[in-house]
Amino acid sequence: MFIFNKVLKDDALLQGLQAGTTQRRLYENKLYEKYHYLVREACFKHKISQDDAESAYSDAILTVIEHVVSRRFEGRSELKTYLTQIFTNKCVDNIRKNTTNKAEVHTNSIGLEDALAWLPDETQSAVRKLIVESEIETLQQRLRALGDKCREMILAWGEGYSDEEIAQTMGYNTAAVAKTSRLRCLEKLKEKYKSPFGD
Amino acid sequence: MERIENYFNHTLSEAERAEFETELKANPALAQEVAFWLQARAAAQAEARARRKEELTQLGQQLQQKGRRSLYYALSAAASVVLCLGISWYVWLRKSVVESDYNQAWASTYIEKNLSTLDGLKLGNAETDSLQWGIRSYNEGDLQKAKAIFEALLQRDSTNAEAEKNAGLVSLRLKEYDQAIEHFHRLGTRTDLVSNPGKFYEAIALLMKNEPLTQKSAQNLLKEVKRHKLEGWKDVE
Repeated sequence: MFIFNKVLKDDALLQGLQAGTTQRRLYENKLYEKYHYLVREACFKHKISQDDAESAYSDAILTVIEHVVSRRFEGRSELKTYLTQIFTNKCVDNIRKNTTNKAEVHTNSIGLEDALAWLPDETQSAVRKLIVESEIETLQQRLRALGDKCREMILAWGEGYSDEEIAQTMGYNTAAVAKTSRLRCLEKLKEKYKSPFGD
Repeated sequence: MERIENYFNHTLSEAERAEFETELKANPALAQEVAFWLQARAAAQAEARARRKEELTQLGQQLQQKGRRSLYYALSAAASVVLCLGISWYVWLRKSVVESDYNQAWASTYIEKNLSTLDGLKLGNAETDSLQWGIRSYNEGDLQKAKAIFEALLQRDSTNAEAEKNAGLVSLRLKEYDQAIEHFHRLGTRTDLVSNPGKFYEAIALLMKNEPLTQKSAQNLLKEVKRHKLEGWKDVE
């Protein structure tokens, strides 16, 4: 555990994030800490408040983590360069939001569009019609009302953890057992969602 | 639900995938299920992201506090060092002042005790007459007159060691320490004399002047007097 007391090199961070172990969270925090000084630089450079810079930095880190884990970041540029570019975009979004109230340009990669694109054209539009963005917020509320274990499991799934990682973290014997439990939790969420009072 | 997930995770076989897509076109209930699964995943992603962002923001606040604490510790350490140096300097200064006051008091007592009067000369000639005259004036307390006599003697004969010594002593009594130091220094550098109190008297004059640098020079001279057993070394002890 001593390695977590020192600043890790980018290669070690990337390996730690992509390894798919239960220590991923620690590598995420290490990445966050390593380049946290960019927040101070952004405050001076973009003339934004500390809180706004912190928020933009957290968003940027989460996006980078998603890209690293999903292998969308291919290592063609330095990790710092990649992060700086995304962080700058988030800061610009923040300035734009504060000055013009326009919606952000650089949206978070939720992956909904990617998933929809996987469907054949003829069914894609039908499914798209069924998806209402505001319903996602309702589902988030229902998710918060789920039991602790189910909520944690679905959130881990949302964070991109595999069933094997979920099994290791939450103490299930196998990935298959974790998957069955997770799907059961999704069914519970569906029941809550369909219930008029969310219970 | 598992079938939907396997479809989007690309783990269905080609035939299963084709069958799923065909069914999806014809089965509105399956389309609803697919829409729910996609929405649920988007909601889980958004919720997980929001929670993780909150955790990272807290981590950022801890880093800020840690940075502020480090700065505070560094400033505290610097202030402590400055304070310690200040106290040490003050103690050293006090010690130096006390020491130099003590040394000056010792020199003053020495002058009072040993240099209030000068011994007269036994032989008589023109030069010794002038010296006698000067010594008499000195002993009578007419220091200005004594000074003029000794200075005049020195002008006539700059090698007159007795005149040099007495000129220094009269300057010392008149508290004209710079002139006294000058006379005694000149006397002290002479090597042709059997007895030479120049260095010892120069040290006395330096102590009476009582300045940080003169104190140090006086100490060095007294050490030299003691080491080489020059005139006055017993008094140093």
